[in-house]
Amino acid sequence: MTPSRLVTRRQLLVGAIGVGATAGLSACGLRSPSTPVGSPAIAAAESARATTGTMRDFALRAAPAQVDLGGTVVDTWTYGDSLPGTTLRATAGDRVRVAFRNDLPEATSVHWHGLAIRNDMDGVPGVTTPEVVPGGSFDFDFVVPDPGTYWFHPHHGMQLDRGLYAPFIIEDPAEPGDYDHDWLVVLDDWTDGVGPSPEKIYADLKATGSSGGMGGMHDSGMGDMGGMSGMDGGDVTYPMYLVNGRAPNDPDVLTAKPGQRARLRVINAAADTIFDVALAGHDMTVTHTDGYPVTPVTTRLLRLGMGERYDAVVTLDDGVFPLVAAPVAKPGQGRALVRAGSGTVPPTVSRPSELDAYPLTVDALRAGPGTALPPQDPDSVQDLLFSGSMGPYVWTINGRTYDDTVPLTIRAGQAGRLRIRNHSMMPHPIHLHGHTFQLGAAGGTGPRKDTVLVPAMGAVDVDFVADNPGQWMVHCHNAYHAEAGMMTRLEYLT
Amino acid sequence: MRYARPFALAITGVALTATLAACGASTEGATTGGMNDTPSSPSTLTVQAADIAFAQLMIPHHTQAMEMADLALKYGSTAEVKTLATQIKAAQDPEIAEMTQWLGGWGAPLEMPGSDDAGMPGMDHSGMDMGGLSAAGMMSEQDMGALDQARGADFDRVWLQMMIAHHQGAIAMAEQVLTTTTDEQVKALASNVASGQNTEIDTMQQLLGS
Repeated sequence: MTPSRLVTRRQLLVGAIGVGATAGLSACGLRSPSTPVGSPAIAAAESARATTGTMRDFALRAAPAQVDLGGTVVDTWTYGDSLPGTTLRATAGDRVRVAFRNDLPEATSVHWHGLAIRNDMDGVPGVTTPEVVPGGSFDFDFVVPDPGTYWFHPHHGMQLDRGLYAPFIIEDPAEPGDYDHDWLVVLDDWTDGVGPSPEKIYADLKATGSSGGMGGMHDSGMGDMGGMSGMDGGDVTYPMYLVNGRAPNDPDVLTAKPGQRARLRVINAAADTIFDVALAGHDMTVTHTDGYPVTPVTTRLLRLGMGERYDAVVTLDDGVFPLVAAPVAKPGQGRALVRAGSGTVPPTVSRPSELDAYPLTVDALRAGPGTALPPQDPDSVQDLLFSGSMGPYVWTINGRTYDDTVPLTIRAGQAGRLRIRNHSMMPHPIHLHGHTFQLGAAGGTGPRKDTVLVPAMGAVDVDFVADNPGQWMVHCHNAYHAEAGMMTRLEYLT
Repeated sequence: MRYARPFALAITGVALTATLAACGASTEGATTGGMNDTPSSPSTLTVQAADIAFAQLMIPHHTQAMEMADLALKYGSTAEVKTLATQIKAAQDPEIAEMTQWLGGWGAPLEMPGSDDAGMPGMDHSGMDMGGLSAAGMMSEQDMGALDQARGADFDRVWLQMMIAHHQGAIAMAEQVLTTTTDEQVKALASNVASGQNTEIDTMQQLLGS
């Protein structure tokens, strides 16, 4: 038994919405040919990218590995025997070649999250890039156009919820570098080898859900959540939360001197967990999200949905401070330590008061100078309606699961608008591959992002420029929701 | 200050009425606002139910904004924040009165059935942090408590962040009802909420970034 994992319940509520959406969505299909892999348009877009002329070669291997999580040694899958995998670094405009080898016992893929690269290197099996069979390899080759904090992970089943993730930092040649340290802070929710496997959790969600009632979802300890909490942060509560691949009782230690400034590059690599992040006793000045600058805003607490990245600068006091990542609406805590000068290590159980602060979300942020899209009315406006159900466990976009999806379409050169409507009682981080959209209207004040956490029942419009031809995934970055159907594609018409 | 949960339950009903016309397929070439805005053939009953739900939900939403504005008049540390608070009260107070009047005229209760959370076990589950994941930008009891404790520049910052989220929620509700309503007074009020609060968000974001 795994008392620390529970499956939360909100079948009736979201179930009812799902029915409503499905009923209204039939007969919407009108298909045209789209831009397939191999299309000259993809190669042409690649040729048009500005390059530095520098080539960066990396070797990357996915393989089974043992990881020590605070004294518990678990068998899992990682990139290059470390957790997170080794950070890849390049400069904007570099040509990156990654010789990837799959030593896992099953097929996999590598998706370069947030990078607006050529479509046929995007790492989505069956859509952009062939899956890599066990023992097989694939040579990635693409120009990285934009600086910022990115990451990579498989786009294959539930593999993301194992240890397969790593940062990908694209340096900005124009970065003023007004800080002394550049620290990665990678957040994850962990079950593999400690609780049930991700595949087992998913199978349980499907099986329990398909029984159709609430009866199968009896959980431990929190039975009176009311049956459908409606304010859940996710579907799964994890036995462990990791910061930089380390358990709270054996934290990663980031070392500096008092008064120094550190840039935190925070990446939420979790499968099913929204995190609130704080550095005890410090304000954080948020400078970037999803790679792009924002007008700096200072906060004590920062909220990240799955797949989102935020960069923040902190000026360090004298002492030892927990850097905490609290899973939203779930028990537990992930943490690292910042050691700046003297001081004793705070106890693992301490809960910094910052966690009671109101978290900064993307609502409060504005695009940094020069990052807004050109002002333009959209040529194409399309709806993305997110809904779902815990029983049966099905999550949909526009009332359809992925196997039945009617893709969004666009023509190269058009200005596109996606009207994202979350008609479910939980937040969803929505990710568009291959593009960085602008929240609100093109040319407005909203920040650029590739993944946006849309609140329960919330609504967000995003504008993008169709400048990267191909077929691109649009999906919820909750790995369980994506697997249960909450994905579609944006296809360039030819 | 216990809106979060009944609020979440209640707006589900609104969503149901509004999903009817959503068509996910390409509307390539559509102009802004597009063809997705008009329900195919909503019954009068459905339309009015959405209007009633809108008023029943927007009244407590506005009421919370008034409470937040009152806190800003007490603890705000800059003239800009106090001016905004005054402006928000001036906009929303008459809207509360107007929506209350509608509901009376429609013979509908002021509160949505079930919106009193006495008898909803689990609402205040001790030890379970709901994480502020309330719907429609409503602040939880914990959020309001944090705001009430904050002072100085910290108060301003938290208040601005909260009011931005609160406004976003109101705008989403207003835009939602605009997709279904046929009532001119509902249209006018919802349009005012959407445009007025969008402008205020712009101001608040600028204050946060300064």
